Amino acid sequence: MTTLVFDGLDLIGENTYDGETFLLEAEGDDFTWGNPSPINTVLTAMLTDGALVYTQGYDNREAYFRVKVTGTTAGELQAGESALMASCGKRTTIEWTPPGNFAKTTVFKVQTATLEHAFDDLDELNFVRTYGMRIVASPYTRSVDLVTLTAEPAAGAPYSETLIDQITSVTAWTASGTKTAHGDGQAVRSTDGPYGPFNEYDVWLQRSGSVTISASTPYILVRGTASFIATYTLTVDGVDYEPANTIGNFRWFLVPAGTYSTIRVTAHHDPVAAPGRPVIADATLTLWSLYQTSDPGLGTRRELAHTFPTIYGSVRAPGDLTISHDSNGLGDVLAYTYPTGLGDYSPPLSLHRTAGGSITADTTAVSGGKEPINGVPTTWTVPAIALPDGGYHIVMRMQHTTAAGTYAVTFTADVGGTTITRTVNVTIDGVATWQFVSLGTEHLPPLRLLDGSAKDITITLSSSVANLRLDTGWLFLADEYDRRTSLVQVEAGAAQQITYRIADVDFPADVVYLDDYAAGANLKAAETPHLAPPSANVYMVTTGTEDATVEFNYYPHWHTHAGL
Amino acid sequence: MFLTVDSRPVSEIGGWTITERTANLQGPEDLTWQMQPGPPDPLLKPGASVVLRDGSTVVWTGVLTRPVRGTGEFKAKGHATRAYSVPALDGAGAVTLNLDTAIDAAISRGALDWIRRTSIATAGVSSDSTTIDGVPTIGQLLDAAADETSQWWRVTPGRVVELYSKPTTPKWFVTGEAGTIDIVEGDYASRLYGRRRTNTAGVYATEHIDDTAAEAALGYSEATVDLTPLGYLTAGKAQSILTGMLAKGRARPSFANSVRGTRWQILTIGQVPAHLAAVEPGDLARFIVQHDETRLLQGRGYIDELIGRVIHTDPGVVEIQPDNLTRGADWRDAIAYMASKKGRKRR
Repeated sequence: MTTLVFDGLDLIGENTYDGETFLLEAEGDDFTWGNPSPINTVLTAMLTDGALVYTQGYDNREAYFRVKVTGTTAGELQAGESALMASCGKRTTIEWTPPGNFAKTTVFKVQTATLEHAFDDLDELNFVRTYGMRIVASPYTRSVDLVTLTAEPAAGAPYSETLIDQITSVTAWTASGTKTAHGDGQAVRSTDGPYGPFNEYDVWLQRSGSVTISASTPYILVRGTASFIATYTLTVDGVDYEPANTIGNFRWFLVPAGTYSTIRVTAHHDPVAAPGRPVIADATLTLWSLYQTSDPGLGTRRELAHTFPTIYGSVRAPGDLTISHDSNGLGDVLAYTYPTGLGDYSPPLSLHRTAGGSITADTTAVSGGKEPINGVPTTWTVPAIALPDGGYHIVMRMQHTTAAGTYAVTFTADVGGTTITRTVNVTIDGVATWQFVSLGTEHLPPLRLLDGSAKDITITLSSSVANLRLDTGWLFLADEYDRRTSLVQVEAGAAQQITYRIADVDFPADVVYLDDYAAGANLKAAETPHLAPPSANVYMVTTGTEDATVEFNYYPHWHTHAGL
Repeated sequence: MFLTVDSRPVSEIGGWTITERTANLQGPEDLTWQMQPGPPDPLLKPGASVVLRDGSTVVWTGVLTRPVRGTGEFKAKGHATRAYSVPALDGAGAVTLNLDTAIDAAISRGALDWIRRTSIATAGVSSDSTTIDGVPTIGQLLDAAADETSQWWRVTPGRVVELYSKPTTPKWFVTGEAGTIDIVEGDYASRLYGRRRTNTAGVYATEHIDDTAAEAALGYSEATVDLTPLGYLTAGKAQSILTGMLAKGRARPSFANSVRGTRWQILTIGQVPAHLAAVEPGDLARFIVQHDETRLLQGRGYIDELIGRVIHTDPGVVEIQPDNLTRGADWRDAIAYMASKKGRKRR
């Protein structure tokens, strides 16, 4: 049954206002919900025919319909007008259930509404007045009910891991294609093909040698990646296993305890419709190490990476992000949301570390250890598929062991013989106190790589300062507009909860709260968290505590008709 | 984008949207944002510190100058713009031509919210700090020091004042789809005459410097500049400044227009689509130019030019002005030019 409720007023039924009862009837004749109107920038192209049109976003929609007020007295008619006016000129909602029993109720986010008079002398004689209702609403609609997504830390702490193979020798390995040692003898690679996106194929690497998987470390962690978008299978003595979790190029497979003789990692490519001009290239699978671990997640539990497999809606949804711990202060917090479909991209550089200074254990470090950067530069070897091209905000977590001050650190990125060098003076505020430092925004990779490239991008961080220590670093893909990423950085200190409340009809701007007060000067970066259908990722660091949880509360958003 | 005023998020007060953000070769320039009109807010007061972040990166800093809550329009000026109103005085209040001393004293007085990490210049372009007319501003001295060394000066988004040179390799590639830039004569000069004051009161001298390479490529043209406001100058200093002016742009033609582009039209030189918020003046960009300018370009269809100004008005699109944009193509330059002329009418 059709229902239409505007700011609590039933627009298809009886209402009471100021003690008077009257009938409101929205009329369907010239009813329109309007449309999200695209904000386009038109650039006249010099070298091609036509103009280039770029949609920056969508502007509000304008709805219009007429409402008939029917009463039996002048007072009732007047109460109808007063009731309608009381709901105009403010941010509120209008809820609509379309005709038919199958459709879901849709909520329009009203920015403002105005009432328009329409005179009809015959109506007036019959105690009927008709008004036009003009509504300016946000471009997209939403569902009635909030959806809550929660990412819990990996269970079973404390975390432990045991090395199976660091792959400094490729002797134990066989390959589906050409087998080579890779990355200065730190990895093994199989090269097959060439293939195009329309081909179905497998690339695999198999290790022969006895391995005992214990019940306390039942996950095999495979660090490595294919040069193409793949689904991964681990085959242990002929039995196939699917990944229990994937973070960037780390994949965990749950394997029953036992002693096994072969481990095969297979990257499978499903044929896809070629996008534009298909690239035909060699297909590679590169493996850097095998571990067995207690949990299918990152070891130190001060960071959390999670994929929400289902995001409802037909357009991206902004939502409230809550990070909390029951008993501990959160410390410095980074929270980042980003869409799926970016290959093996994940923000933490620690997934790719291949060289650096001697690591000293540090339980306050996000990575679990710290290293100097004045000798061997800390080096991360990032496969092309884990570094989609674009601007990246570079964040490091550093300290100086003896003195606050300003110190020069140098970031480099290299591929194909082209190096980007970025030297930044970072200000360290305390002595032997960890802090996030921003190295600004840099475009990576240094050279755009063709789809399917098997190249690695070598990223380093170094400094001439002996007492600087690095915990780890992050590359946050910076793209509020096109790829819908968002980065939030808060110094939460002893607060046990951070809530990022997005603008809504109650308050027209985003506010971040620590426990129950606004973060104020403790907020260092804020972009509205968005999760885009069909699935999305969240990544979080809480330096103050292990095992914080993250919660995302959102209304599924739709073009016009809610489906949920 | 994330906007704070005196370290407090503006969104805690209400909704806001940036309507214009510009930066020039001296760093952040203008920032305008719109809020809901309302009564004055104690946080949004003139002189407050404004910081705009893109993710974790600070992209614009300055001082709130015009908080008009009545119309909801807020304007802030970049820290570098203050240089032209702050006098070059030492700690005791005496005129100094030692830039490091003058900047440190201004920071100490609270006149400039800058950070000086490296020495800018300790010897003034002039040794004449007593007979000079009026009190020179720090901006005037920075301009002279930068010209003398063929460099530019800026106050970075991190508030650090520094001299910098033109990069040798381009960082950006502005595709032809974003538009080409047209070359016009502008203020081109292959010979620059400079009028200077000598160390004898009331006695003036004229120096000149030629750029023979420019003359061979583009023909002979001359212009004059007035160096007298800088106080007494030796012939050598005057020649250094003239050489710097030629090298920084006078000995090249100007450009008629700027280009507007999206991230698909403005790429890094490595062909990665630009994150537009990270495009900064002072970066070197490769622009496509008219193909017949063979004398200047020796057959090339591009020119590597400093980005002189970046203007963000709409998300997803950026306007990039090459350095050496011809006067009159941008009203900001026209106003700054007229303002600079006003000061020189004293003599």
